[in-house]
Amino acid sequence: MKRIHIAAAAACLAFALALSSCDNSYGVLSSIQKEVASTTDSVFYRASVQNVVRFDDTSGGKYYYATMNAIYRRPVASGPNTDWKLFSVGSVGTDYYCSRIAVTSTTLYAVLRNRNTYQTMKGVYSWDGTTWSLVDSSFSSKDVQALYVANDTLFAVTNEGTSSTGSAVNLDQPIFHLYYLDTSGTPTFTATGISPSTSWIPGVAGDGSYFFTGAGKTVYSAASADFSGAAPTTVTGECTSFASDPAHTRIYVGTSYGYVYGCYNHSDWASTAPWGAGSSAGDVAAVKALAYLPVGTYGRLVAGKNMYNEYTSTYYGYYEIALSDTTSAGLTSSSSYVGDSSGAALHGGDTTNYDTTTKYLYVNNFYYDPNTDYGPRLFITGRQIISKKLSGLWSDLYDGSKWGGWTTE
Amino acid sequence: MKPSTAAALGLSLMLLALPAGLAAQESGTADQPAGNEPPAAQAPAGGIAAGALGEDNPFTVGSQLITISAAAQIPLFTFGGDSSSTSPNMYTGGSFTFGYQYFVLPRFSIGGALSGSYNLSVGSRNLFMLPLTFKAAYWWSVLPFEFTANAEVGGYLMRFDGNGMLGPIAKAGGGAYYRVSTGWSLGLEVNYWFVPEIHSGDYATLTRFGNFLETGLSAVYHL
Repeated sequence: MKRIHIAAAAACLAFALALSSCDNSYGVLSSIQKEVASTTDSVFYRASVQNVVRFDDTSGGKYYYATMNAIYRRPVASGPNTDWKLFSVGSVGTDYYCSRIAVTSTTLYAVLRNRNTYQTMKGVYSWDGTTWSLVDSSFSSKDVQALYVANDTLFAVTNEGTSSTGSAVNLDQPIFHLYYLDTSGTPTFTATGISPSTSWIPGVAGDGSYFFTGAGKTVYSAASADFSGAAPTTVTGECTSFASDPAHTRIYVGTSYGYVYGCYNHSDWASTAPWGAGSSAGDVAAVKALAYLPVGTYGRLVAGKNMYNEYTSTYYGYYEIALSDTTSAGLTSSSSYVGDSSGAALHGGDTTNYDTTTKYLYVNNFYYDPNTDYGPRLFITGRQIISKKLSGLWSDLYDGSKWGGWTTE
Repeated sequence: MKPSTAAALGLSLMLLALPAGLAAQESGTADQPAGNEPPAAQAPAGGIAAGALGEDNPFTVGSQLITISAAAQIPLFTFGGDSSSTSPNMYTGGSFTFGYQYFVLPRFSIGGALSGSYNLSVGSRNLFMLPLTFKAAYWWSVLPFEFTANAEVGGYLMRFDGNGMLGPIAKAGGGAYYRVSTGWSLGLEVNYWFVPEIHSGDYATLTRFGNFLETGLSAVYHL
């Protein structure tokens, strides 16, 4: 009998010890109660969305445009997950494939391919709100891989490499070229001074006057869109993303090793590693998308994770980087927050919002709409990890002082 | 939240203490002088008398049972703390239970049970619970049918989205079985799970009380 009492006392003590040593700061059932149910009626449900832009045309139309192998658009006034429709392209109709769009202050541009034979180009088309037009017909056969806009100038990246099999269209040994659209006369794509590269050109950024781009471990800056006399800067890891803050003459570069670099006033460089420095060995979390948000005292960056090595990575979600000043790149004393930390802002004060929405996205791009008529609004595009059922496009509304949290588009 | 080393040690001590308590009880029995064995030791093998299918009480002192159950785990509601709704925000999942019971009185047994349950939340995250309980049950029969009403108390380990939690748990329920042989009964079991998740101090508003209904198939092996 005594042994029963001893055993029971030991059990009670052990249980009390176990309870008393538990960390109290995470509520499991409360977190579950705050979850947002996965929305299955989104156009972008379980899809990979490449990018999204806003274009206000001269006839008064205000739309968001998103690419998911074709162009979809919704009225800005409609709100998230409402009225997204497949967009017809003039005489091409809906018989096209499109994964890249970009917008200047006056025009929306799209790279169109044949829907059935992906390698067959239709060309770069422009939309002014009324009419679709082919831009520079002599350029229409080039394998355009991306479109970027910096300082209101359009840039195009082409693959003009070779094929290991001799195919005229399957250029599996890529060589990337950077062109800009010269609109001084008839719009014409003109080669820049950036040497053709076997490394991908992930973006072009502008700080209001200077232009920045990169390939491999080199970032180039120049005073003109043709990048003549470009000055090189070496970064750790390969360039994977760009962002701009022209109001403070600074740009930002993300790399494949998890670094974020900033350049202030054309030449003052600084860097930070928001999720720890990566490694040259094996797979790392690349900063595949970067955006500058003009919120808070000094602004904030949001850095999206994605695979650098397509076959082995498990990195997804994003970090926020609170910048420390506006008279430099602001990275020297910056603070980094993983998306569901209490210091992060985009989840709207509810960490569960991040955990059940954008945490499980391989991030393709961010797009920040600064207009205050129905925003400002931040968009995130991506592809969900295989075990989750999520939309590929989300947005977050800023009310002037606080973000509302992620909502399915 | 990851349970600390002390928490893991505490849970391990609980698991060790349960068989130690039962062994203490059985060693007390064995300490009695030879020739003066208690009635439990005189019960037929398996605790059920041979040819006793016509008797109303096969659950004699010294009888032992092993129970195995597989059930649906239905989340009912969650309340407490700063909760603004009672929605559990989970889908029906599943559970299994392995238990042992020893009859200390006619029709009255004590023992323990180890369960495991799984539920998917509406945000596609996985909730796992592992309760370990002390169980007391009352059994009666109108052979070939057998019935039980039981109550359990104990503790659980909960895992969710990389976070862990320990807490107390209480269950109550019952079952109805059909005696298919001298060794086996098969039937249905229903249990109500009351799962408090207690937080203190600055995090007291995170406190919640989860409520689940476990209902499914059960098999009883009469030792």
